[in-house]
Amino acid sequence: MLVLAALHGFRRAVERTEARAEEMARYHAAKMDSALQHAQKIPEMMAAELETGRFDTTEKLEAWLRWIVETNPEVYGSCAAFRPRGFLPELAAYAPYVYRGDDGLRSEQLAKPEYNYFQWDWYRAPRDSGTALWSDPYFDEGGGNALMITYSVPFRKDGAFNGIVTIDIAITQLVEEITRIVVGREGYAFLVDRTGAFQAVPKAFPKPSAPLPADSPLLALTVEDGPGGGHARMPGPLWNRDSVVGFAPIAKGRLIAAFVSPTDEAFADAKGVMLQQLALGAAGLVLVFGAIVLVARSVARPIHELSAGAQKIAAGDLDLNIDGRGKIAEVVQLTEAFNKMTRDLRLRMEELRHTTTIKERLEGEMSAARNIQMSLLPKVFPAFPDRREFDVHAVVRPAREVGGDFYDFFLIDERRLCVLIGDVSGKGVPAALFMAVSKALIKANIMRGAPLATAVGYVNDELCEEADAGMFVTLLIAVLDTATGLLEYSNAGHLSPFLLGADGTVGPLDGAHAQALALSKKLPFSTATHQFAPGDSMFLFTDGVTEALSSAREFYTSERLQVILRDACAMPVQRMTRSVIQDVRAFASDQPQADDISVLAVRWLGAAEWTDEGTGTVAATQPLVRSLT
Amino acid sequence: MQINEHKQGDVTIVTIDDHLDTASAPQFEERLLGLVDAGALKILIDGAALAYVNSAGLKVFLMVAKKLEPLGGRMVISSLQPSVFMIFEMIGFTRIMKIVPTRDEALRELGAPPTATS
Repeated sequence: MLVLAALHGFRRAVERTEARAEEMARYHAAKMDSALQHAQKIPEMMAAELETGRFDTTEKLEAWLRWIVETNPEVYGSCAAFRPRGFLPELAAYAPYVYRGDDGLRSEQLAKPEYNYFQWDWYRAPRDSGTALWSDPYFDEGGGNALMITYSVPFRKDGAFNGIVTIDIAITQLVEEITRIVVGREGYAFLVDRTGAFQAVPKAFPKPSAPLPADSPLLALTVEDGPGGGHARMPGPLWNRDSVVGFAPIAKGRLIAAFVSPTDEAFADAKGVMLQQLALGAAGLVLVFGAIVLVARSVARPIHELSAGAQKIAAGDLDLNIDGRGKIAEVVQLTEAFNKMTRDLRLRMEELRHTTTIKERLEGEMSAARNIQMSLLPKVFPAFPDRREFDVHAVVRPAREVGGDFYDFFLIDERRLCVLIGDVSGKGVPAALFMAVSKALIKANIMRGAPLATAVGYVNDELCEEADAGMFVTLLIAVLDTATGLLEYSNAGHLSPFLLGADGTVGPLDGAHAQALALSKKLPFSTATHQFAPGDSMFLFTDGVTEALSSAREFYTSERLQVILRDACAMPVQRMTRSVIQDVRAFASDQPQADDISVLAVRWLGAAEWTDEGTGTVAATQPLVRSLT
Repeated sequence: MQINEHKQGDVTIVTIDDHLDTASAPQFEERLLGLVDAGALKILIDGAALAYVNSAGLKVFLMVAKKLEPLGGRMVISSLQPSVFMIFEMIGFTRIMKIVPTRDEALRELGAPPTATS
């Protein structure tokens, strides 16, 4: 067991190192990109000026070029290269270039037979693509003696291509700033171009002459869709140590920043952490809490974008693609799920244009929305195979028409488990989208670490901004301290859950009842607590259970639920949830299911404790459930 | 479900019965929002004959309340059966909407004289 725990710790350490390396790469790439974006504005402005046609003599144009270079210290050189006879009819080629020499500004005419600028990439590529482009980085051995990168912007005359204006930016300082960064204790950063050739390495290393192999993951970045980035495990390119490398593109992938961290360092950290955990458990918790607050902060912004996007999608804007930038895998995942959902919906809508009947159209839309909705609910069980202190299981049986049921469970930290169940008013695609937004907002706010009632209040306020057309959400949310069995819960307009005692008693947990979410801002929410004994469970459900109709048009009712739960008290949670679902189905027999049916059960099995002797197992210190033995 | 409406002074009284659920909610929504669009600012919903409401139906009440608010209008709900009232209470509508036991009380709330023939 100790070995397993250690392996787990090591794996976690490597994952942390990967995330950190990638985050550093993305951060510094974005920082350098923003410096470059600032420089991009200069030639873009120049192109606009050239298009006015106010430079009608070579003197005027060259004086202006000198002025541009003189007044913009970040610009090393600038060139206005016209197409054949593009400047004046009598000039077959014309490309004045002004740059910084050792003793001040110098001018040069690039239109000369031995250079023939029409043949060079910096002229041809933006001409052929019609868009502004960064060049590959290059080392300028002339006046600059620096690593340079050129931005080329095409300009037009009477609607037709008329030439290219460029600026050269010396990036030596920017890349040296990056290579001076020490990653962790011994890691380092370097930059390659898109062929894998090393452009900058830390001073302590000689620059390798061979490029990275063409199949290196660093070179597989796709940057067309926006800022990419990733991480890989490989032998560090500057030394022979197994390393974690995080990387991100700069200047649309013309440069790639890579941050290297040796894996043995991560392992050493993991070992240290394990020792520290034993001695300094409490201090560890404080640190974890701090990290969660930081992470949660960076969750909030993308979630906001996402919910704004969801509104647009709900309004029918299926061409929307939400920018997937974000450092948190969870948020990136959710954004991807959203974008996939939008794409799926769009595809589905397009397919449907070809179908003939309205019935088919509606059913198609519904099943797409239902698939999306269901894909957002966690469905892998056992959900926490390495936790002995608790067990959780949930089942949803979706209605044919899309309902708005949802549930979720996740660890807030090593010790606290959050479980929740909710129901969005209404049906169809808008309800499915609002459900997705609600679920994301709830998790983001809970992870932020505020007291439960406050967090629910935040969710309410944020949902009020998103809600339209009378949408509201009922929610039952609970946080279980897995070390003590203390349960804190808050009820926002939802059906009271049932408490199932290990001794076979069943009764409602009906405290902390407030109004549903998204009714009105600034309404207060409260919490209540309940002390679990080992083996106690809580059963959460939606009104799809109690309002299921029989063929005699009778409701299932919470009384009937209570009866079946009395029998299910002693069952493992996954059998408990399934037997309720089965009973509801048997009750409804052949009646169509009008609403989603969702149930969630969580059981506390007693505190677990790390033992530091002998087998080193993680064991439940309190006897396991009586009813299970 | 049957929806009936009549005017008493400047109050529009709407009565509904049977089940207000996913099937009947769209009809109820269209009818009530139509009233607001037509300029009705004081709406009394008499639920004496309403036997069941689910979230699709509750949604309509919230829509109407939210639509009336910026117009300076008002909605009062009266005469709910205990089982329906319990649902309104569970969702928390009792905290954001005016829900009263009788139609006369609702009329008073809306500033209209009570009627002897309700």
